[in-house]
Formats: sequence, C-alpha cells, structure tokens
Amino acid sequence: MARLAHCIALLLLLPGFSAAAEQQASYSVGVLNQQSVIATAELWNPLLDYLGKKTGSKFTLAIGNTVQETDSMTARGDFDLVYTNHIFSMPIERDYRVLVQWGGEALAGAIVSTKPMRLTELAGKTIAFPSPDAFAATVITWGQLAHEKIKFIPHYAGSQEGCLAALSKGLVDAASITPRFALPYTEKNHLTLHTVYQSGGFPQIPLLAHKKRIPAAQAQKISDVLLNMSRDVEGSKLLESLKIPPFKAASEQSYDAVRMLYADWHQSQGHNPQ
Amino acid sequence: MSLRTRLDLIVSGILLLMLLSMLYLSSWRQSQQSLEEQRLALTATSTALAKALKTPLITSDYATIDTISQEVFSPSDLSALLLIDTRGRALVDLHTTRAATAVPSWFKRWFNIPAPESRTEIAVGGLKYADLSIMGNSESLYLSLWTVVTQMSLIALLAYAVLNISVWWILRRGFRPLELLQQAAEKLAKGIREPIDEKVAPELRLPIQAFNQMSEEIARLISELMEKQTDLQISAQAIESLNEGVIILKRDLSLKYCNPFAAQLHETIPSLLQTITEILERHLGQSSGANLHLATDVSTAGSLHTLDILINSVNLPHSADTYHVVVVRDITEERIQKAKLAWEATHDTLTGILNRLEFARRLNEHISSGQPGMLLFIDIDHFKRINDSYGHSVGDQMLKHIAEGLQRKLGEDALLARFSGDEFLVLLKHISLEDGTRLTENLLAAIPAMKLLYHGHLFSVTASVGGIYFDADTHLSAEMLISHTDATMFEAKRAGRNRLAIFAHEMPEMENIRVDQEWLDRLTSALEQKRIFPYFQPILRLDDDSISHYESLARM
Repeated sequence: MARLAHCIALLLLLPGFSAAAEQQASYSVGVLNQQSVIATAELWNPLLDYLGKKTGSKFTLAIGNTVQETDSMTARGDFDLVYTNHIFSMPIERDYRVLVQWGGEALAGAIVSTKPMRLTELAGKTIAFPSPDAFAATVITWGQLAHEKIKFIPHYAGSQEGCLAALSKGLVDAASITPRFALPYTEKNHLTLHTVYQSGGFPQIPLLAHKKRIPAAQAQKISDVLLNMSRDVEGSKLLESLKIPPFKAASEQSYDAVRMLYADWHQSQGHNPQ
Repeated sequence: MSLRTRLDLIVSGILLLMLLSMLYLSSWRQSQQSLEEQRLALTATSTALAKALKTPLITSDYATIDTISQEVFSPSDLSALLLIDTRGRALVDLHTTRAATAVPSWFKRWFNIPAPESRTEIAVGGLKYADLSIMGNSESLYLSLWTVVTQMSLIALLAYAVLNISVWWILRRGFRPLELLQQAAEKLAKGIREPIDEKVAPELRLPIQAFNQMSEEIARLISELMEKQTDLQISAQAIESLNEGVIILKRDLSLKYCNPFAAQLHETIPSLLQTITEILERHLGQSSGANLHLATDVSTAGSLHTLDILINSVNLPHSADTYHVVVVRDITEERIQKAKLAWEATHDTLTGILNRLEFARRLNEHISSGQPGMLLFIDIDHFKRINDSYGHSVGDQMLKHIAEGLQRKLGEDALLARFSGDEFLVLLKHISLEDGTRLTENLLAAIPAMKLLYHGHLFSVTASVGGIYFDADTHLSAEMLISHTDATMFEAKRAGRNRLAIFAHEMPEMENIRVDQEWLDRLTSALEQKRIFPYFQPILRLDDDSISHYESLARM
C-alpha cells in the first residue's frame, strides 16, 4: 500500500517536474545589428516572447553594441540561437544548424545615394558600409565595386541604419545597405534615396541553433513555431503588428553560395576569417 | 478706544491678513511651481536616461549603464538614482546627501515639500528590462522657496509699513472732522453746546451745518425737557403732597398709582377703590372714557363718609393707553361744616331756633303763598335784669330754655325764631285769627311756667306778645310785617307787660300802631345817627321885639 502511494505521488509530481524542467530552459538569441540595438530589440523581443510561449522555453535577446561586437559574440559561440549570416564566415558555423530564414524577398545588397548617380560615379567617393563582414551590404556590393574596379573610400557605420544616418547627414556619398532597411528609415527620417546599384537575390538571413545546446527536437519545435506563425492567430497578428513576413524554411545547402562568397571576400581582403 | 484707532487696527489687520495670505499663497504656488518644474525636469531626465539606458540594457553593457548613470547623476541635483532589473537586482544605486542649506527647519516642516521622484519602466518591444527610479532634491526647492519667501516677506513688510502709514495718515485726516463731530456730540450729551466751525472741514460743510442745527435744536429741547421735567417733578411732588387723593387707574381699572393721601384715605375707607371702580364701570359702560364729578356717600365701620370724586379719563399721546385719573376728597367734614354754616346762617346759635333772616325769608315765602297766618312778636319782660343780676350766662340759659319751651308748645308746623336779644318771632301758619289768639294766650300763659333751675336758683320770666293776623290781602313784606308786629308788642308792653296785643292787619288800630311804630323807628334812627339837635331860641314879642322867653326844642 505504501509503495502504491509512493508511485501515485511520483506520477502526480512527474508533470510538474517535466514542466518545471521545460520552463526552466532559457536560451540566448543573438541577432545581427542590422538596425540599432533598440530597433532590433523592438522587433525581436515580441518574436522571442511568442516563441517562448509556444515552446515553453525562455528566449532572451542578446546583442552587441555594434555588428563587430555581435560578430565577436557569434564567433565565440555565446548565443544558443543566432540570427545572422555573418556566421558563414566563421569556423563556429560548424556548431550551429540552420533552422529557418527570414521571409520576404531574397537578400540583396544595394548602394543608395541621396541623388541619382551611376555606380561609376562613386569613384573616389565615400561609401558607408555596416561592417566588414556584412554579407549583402558589404561583401556583395564591395565585390561588385571591385569587379568594376571602382576605387572608393569605405566608411564603416556599424549598422545599416548607421550607414543611412551617415548618408542623410552628408558624411558619406553613398550607403551600402540591404533594401529592406531603406524604406523604414526613409519614411521615418523623410529621406529620399536613389538606388545606385542593387545586386541579385541571395538567401535571407537565417536563424541558427547551437547543435549541442539546443537538442534537435527542441530545434525542430522552434522551427515549426516560426514557420507556422502565419497559421496561428496570435502569430499572424504578431507578424502583422511587426510588419514582417513570415519565416521561410531553410537548409544548410542554401547558404553554400554565401559561404563561398565569404571565402572569396576574406581572401580578397587579405585577412583570415575570425 | 476711538473709532479711528479701531478702524486703523481693523484696516491694519486686514492688510496684514491680506499680505500674509498673498505671501502664503504666492509661496505655496511658488513651491508647487518649483516642485512641478522639478518633477517635469525629473521626468525628462528619467525619460532621457531610460532611453539612453535601453541599448546598454539590451546588450547587457553594464559598464555603459554605470557610465551613463554616473554622467547623469553626478552633476545633477538628484539625490538618488536606482536601476532595478527584472530579477530585482540593483544595476545602479546612487545616493547622495546634499549639503544642508540655510533654510530653517521650521520652514521645511511648514511647507513639507516631498522630494520629487520619477519612475520609468524601461521596456523594449514589450519586454521589460529594468525599472528606473530617480529622486530629486528637495533642499534646492526649499532654498529657492526660502529665498522667494524671504524676498517677498521683505517686500510685504515694506508694503505693509507703507500702507499702514498711508492708512494712518488718511484716517487721521479723514477722521479729524468726525472726531470734532464726535467731541461736539459728547459735549452736547453733557449739555455743553459747542458749534463746530465749518472751516475745519469744508468737505463736511453740510453735515457740520446739520450737526450745528441739530445741537441747537437739541439744546433747546433739552432745556425744554429740563423745564418740563422740573414741572413734572413739581407736579409729582405736588400730587404727592396734595391733601387730596389722586388715584390713577389703567384701562382695565387696575391700580396704576395712588398718592400718599389716597393711600391714607383707603386705610380709612377700605371700600374706596371698589366704590371708584363701580362708578367707572357704570359710566364706562356708556362711553369709552369718563369725565365725572360727583359726590357719593360711602359707609364704613358704621360711619358715613362723603367723597367728592372727580374722574378724568386721559388718552396719552402716541399711545393707545387710557388712564383714569381720579381725584378724591373726603368732604365729610366739609359737608358737616357746610351744613353747620348753613344752619348757623339760618339759626340762632344760642337757642338753636331760626334766626331773624331765615325767619324773614320763610315769612316772605308764606306771605307770597297767599296763605293766612299770624305773626307773633314775643319779648321777655325785664330780661335785662336777669343779665345784670345774674350774668349773661344765666340770661343765655334762660333764653335757651324759653326757646325750647316755645318750640315744644308750638310744634313743627310753626316757625320760631329769635329776633334779637330777648325777642322771639313766631309764625303760625294756616290758622284763623281766633285759633291764633287762643294759641298765643296759651303760649303767654306757658312762658312763666318755663322755669329754669340753674346753679341752684330757679328762674322764671314773663313775656309781652304782640301779634298780627294776615291773609292774602295783606300786601306787606316780611320786614314790614315784623316791624308792625313789633309795634303791637310795644302795645302789649305799654298795656302793662305779660299780656298780648293781637290785631288783624286790616284793623284800624293797626294804622295808629303803624304810625306810632314809624315814629318810633324814625326817632330811634335819629338818635342812633345823632340827628336830634337841641335848639335854644328866644321868643320875641311881636310888638316890641323884646324877648318874651326862651324855649328849647329838639330838632330832628
């Protein structure tokens, strides 16, 4: 009788333990500094909160002050989940698996200016880049300029918003960004931009999960939640309020081209990848 | 305390109250304004700091958090800065104790300005990162407020002093004429009339004129009043000391006042008041007021009092009250005296029978009535001897005795009077000559029987009686009839006394008696008036004019 009672008690307590064990899972999520830290937090905190509710885990945004800081944190493997494509230039990439990618149009790089000009007119001009390792806004556009043998003066602004801010203040002649961030900034700051160059499309920035710190099942769960946001009432409302497209499925192979371009970039720049 | 002083104090108090209220309200408003400003500044600082701390909080850049917090806190007037994360950990905890200012502690307790505080929740994208709490410094508030209050107090004090002096000067100037009016009024109240000179305050010319006129009128009225008061006092004293009772009754006939004499009278006549009220009730039933003068008899304790009552109902001017003023005199004695006088006027005081005048009046009445009658004249024989021999007291007693005896014999129907000395008159009314003669004879016979025993002596007299019978045809006055009857008495005297001589008026003898009486009267008058002069004259012979003899004669 006593043994039965113990078993029953154990059975009753088990869900509590499980739930407690599950609720206690807390993951850090690093996000690339495509925007200011605050703008990044305003976008990702609601997403992470939704993700946490749906998965039962806690996801905490983690970000450096600058792209370089975040890249350093990424390279160190500080994050359990990381949203960046800069990782594809880092050895730590091997410890992460791709879960989903940002929705919407393919990732492209663009060079914009406040007045119409051709790409060749950028010779000798100052162009703002987010960071040396920004894929679309630096690797692709710089690659294009190099391909067309256009000499320019680079200026690293720390983020895409930083590039646009430098452009709007007249500190640079052009800014290299991804088009996704141009419209919100111009609307907010009443800035008229002219596209000098826009590249072709590449896979959007992925969300990767640490292979060891986030078990496969959990990683799958996270992917499922993000991919099914548009089919979930709360998720669709959140997408609408944040004005972002739903996440898309992604695979490791999707980013082979990115990896290759990064390798070429590092080589052209004469520095080893971090 | 004078009106000016009171007004000065009141105005001063009001000014002080106003200034203090303004000072307090201004200070309070200033404090609230300063507090609000500090709150707004604090809120702005908190908002700006929260904004600045967002990025380092998101990036967990605690160094930057510290730096920003220190940069904000150190140069500021903040007294505390606290940043608490979602786990309750204090990421920033800065405090400072600002140096105490020179503001007195009572001032701080009075205003009790709480240190402003601002709390801001730092959240990004719906995720709360921390709570920021900053607290301002109330010392600076107190200091600024104290400075303001001090300055305003000085200004208020100066304003108060200036206003007070102004009010004092204005009141002093403005009240001077009023004070003069007041002093003049006070003196007037004491009976001292001092007109105010209009030049003292030309702006108050009309009130001063009015006052002067009023004081003149008041002085005159006071004088009149004092006169009237004196009169009233005299009247009151007079009423009090009157030897007549003065009773004043109210409309409802209750007693209002009575003077001492009335009170004394009431003690003598307990039913006095009742009698008066009964009279009034009887009369008032006929009219609303009473104006009566009557005499009434009141019986009390077996004695009868005659009261002379004069009632006047008076209506006081400017009042609906009616009072009945009663003047009452006990005229019992007066009546008695009057009756006595009236009696003495018609009676002989010695014998108590009618006197000559009254007898003559009644005799005239009887004669005028046309009724017959007999007039007798009785003269006591040798009466002078009694007076001379025994004294007038015996003589008087004798006369009284004879008068009493005659009255008894004559009865009430006849009139008996003492003519003079020892002479009596009797009128027998409605009697015939024969009956009258018989009666007279009886009287004559009765007189000697009227003996008087006096001091052990027995006295008796006789009388001579003359009488005249008259009727409607006798046209004589009482005086003439008496005179003629007197003459008949003399006839009785001449015949030998102690007898009677009665005549009817129409008898021829009466003429002789009448003539004799006339001559007797004329001679009596001439002797009294000394009109009889003796003359001594020679008688001359006619032939030779020689004196034959002398004769003396008396001429009248």
